[in-house]
Amino acid sequence: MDLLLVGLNHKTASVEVREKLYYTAEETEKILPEISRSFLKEAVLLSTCNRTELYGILKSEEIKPEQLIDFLIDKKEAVGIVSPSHFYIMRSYDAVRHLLEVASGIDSMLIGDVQILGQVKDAYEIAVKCGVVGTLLHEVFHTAFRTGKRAKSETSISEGAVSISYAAVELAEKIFADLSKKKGMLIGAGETAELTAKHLVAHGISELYIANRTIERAQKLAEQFNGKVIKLEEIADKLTEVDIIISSVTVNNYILTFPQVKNALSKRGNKPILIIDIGVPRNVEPRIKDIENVFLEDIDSLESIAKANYERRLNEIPKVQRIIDEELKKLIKWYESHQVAPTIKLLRDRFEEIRQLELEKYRNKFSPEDFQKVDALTKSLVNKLLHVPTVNIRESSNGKPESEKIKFIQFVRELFGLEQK
Amino acid sequence: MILQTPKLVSIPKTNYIYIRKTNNSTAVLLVLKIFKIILPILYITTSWLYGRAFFKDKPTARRLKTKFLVFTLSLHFVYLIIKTAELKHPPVTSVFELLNVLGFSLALAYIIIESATKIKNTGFFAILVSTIFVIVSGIFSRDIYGFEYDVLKNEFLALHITSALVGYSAFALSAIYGFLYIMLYNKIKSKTFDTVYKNLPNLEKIELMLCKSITVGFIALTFVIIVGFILLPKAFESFSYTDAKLIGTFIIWLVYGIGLGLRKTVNLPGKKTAFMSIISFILVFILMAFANAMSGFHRFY
Repeated sequence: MDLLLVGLNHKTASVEVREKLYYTAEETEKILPEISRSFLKEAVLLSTCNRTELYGILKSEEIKPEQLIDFLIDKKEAVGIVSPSHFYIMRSYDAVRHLLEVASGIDSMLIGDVQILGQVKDAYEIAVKCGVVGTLLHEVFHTAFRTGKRAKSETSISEGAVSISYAAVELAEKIFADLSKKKGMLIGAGETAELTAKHLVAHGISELYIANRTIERAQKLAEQFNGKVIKLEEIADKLTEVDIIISSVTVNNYILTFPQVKNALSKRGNKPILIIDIGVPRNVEPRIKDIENVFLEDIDSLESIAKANYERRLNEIPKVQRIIDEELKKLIKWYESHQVAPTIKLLRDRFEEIRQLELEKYRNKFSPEDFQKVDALTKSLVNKLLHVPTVNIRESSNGKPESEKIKFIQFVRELFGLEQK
Repeated sequence: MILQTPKLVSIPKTNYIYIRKTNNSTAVLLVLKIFKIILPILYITTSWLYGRAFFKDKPTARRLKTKFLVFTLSLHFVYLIIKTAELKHPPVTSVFELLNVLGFSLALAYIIIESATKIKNTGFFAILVSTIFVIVSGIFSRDIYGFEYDVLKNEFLALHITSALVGYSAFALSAIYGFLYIMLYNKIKSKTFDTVYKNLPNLEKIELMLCKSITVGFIALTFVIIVGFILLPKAFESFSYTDAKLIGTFIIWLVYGIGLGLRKTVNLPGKKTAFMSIISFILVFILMAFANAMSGFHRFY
């Protein structure tokens, strides 16, 4: 297979290098026709925050992969920051395997990253739009989509929160059945707290109160999350109605005390309450955790959830590898069946099968001697009929680029109904 | 709903002593013996599959567990049908026969809940209890065929027994959900975020399923008591309102009734409700064991 891959990722390049070589969708659309004119017959450029990879089929053997690397660096004016040593070059099935690993999320910085499959699809769509995708890349990328989909549905590679902010939401979902019926309260506006609030809102939390020392900041967050601003003094009163509290404010004294929470819990009919304290020093009196139906968690709990989930994802890698092996085998089978020699053999076998079937129908109508003559006659007839197509298939494929060759073979197979076989 | 009381008048007065000797086919008896050996093995295998799926996250176990449970339940159903045909009445004449049917109805109740809620991760505990019931029943039940109990052929009594089975299965399920609630509650409180934590549904859902089970059980037991109080005096000559089983059932009904009432009135937290469901079910076992031993007319062996 003539497939070539040149690229860099989080394993070979630092973030400074990766961001320098990052191609936006618009830039990709501009650069692909240029690559297609100068270097590749087919090309897909996958560029994300963690990788920039160019998949394609070289126009001629004279073109070297290093030329492509230099081109990618020059286009981003990244000489001096990005060097060829950051790149890896892969060919044929190694390149396919790598793409399947990328699409299934096991090559990501965060194993099981769900976004990558969408990014691979987007890269492919742009290449299709630019008209630089042929039969081979079409098949290779569709194998990658299928692999990514299977990895997600057949394994737990993408399951469980692996970021702290998401772990908080996961924890809330382990206590409450329906977040859309729950209210939240954000105290302070630290980065993690803000991200957690964002995830809670995305999970449909019904109402979000925001309390912050700086009212302007609180108002900004309230606009962002469609929440309601409250004063810090109002926090205790709101305890009776909110179910999830995220606190990350810098205070000298506890912002939530044992008597406040204990009192609020009896007023709220003992309904459970989740308090996530990510403030330093701690915002919530620790002995609150002893109150029944109060779940007090801190940054360590969230980290341990994220860590446990990540370990579970790592254990899923062998299962994903098995899916990749299966899909790769299917692709190899498809590729080999689209080569000239197997197609000619299939064509001859099909004609021979038809000949034998027809011959069997007349076996009892001829004497053994006559039957032998008919057998020889039909054999010769089939050979003569197939001679010209066989020669033409061989000659038409000679010197043709791989993608065109595959297209031609595909046509022959459809013409003679060999696919159904 | 008004009960069709006129029909009850026609119920013949019988006594459990009034039995007839019947002939049994040896082939059928052999089939029943084979079933008695196979069923515990099938239940153990199903529990094992559910356990592997829950504790080890094994994909094969996850894929096969429900199918295997359906297979086990189907065979168990066939066994109960053959046994009923052979006995000429439902197999509910002893505590151990009842345990067998209870094991079946508990597993059946679980699979109905599993398909209705799509929560497939609580099966291990329910099926484990079913397995224990089936094993205990298999070891201790005496296979006495060849006697017919006329009283057990009455369709109203069949209704009485079925309601009792539904009720006690629901109580068993509530205890299982209570156990799961406490387990998950403690895991979150102690910050143990392991596979068990990951595989359990959320606290509110478990609590909801627990409360629904108790409600179904309570309604079924109410029905058992009503039907029993109307029917039994007509069916048994030796009927007594002070029979141990009647008192025992009434105490159980009262305990669950008070529990449901308390939950509504004093906003009982989930953990306390869970504890109560477990303690109540233990009480069911103790009371039923005593009641069976002391009951007069309400026993058949």
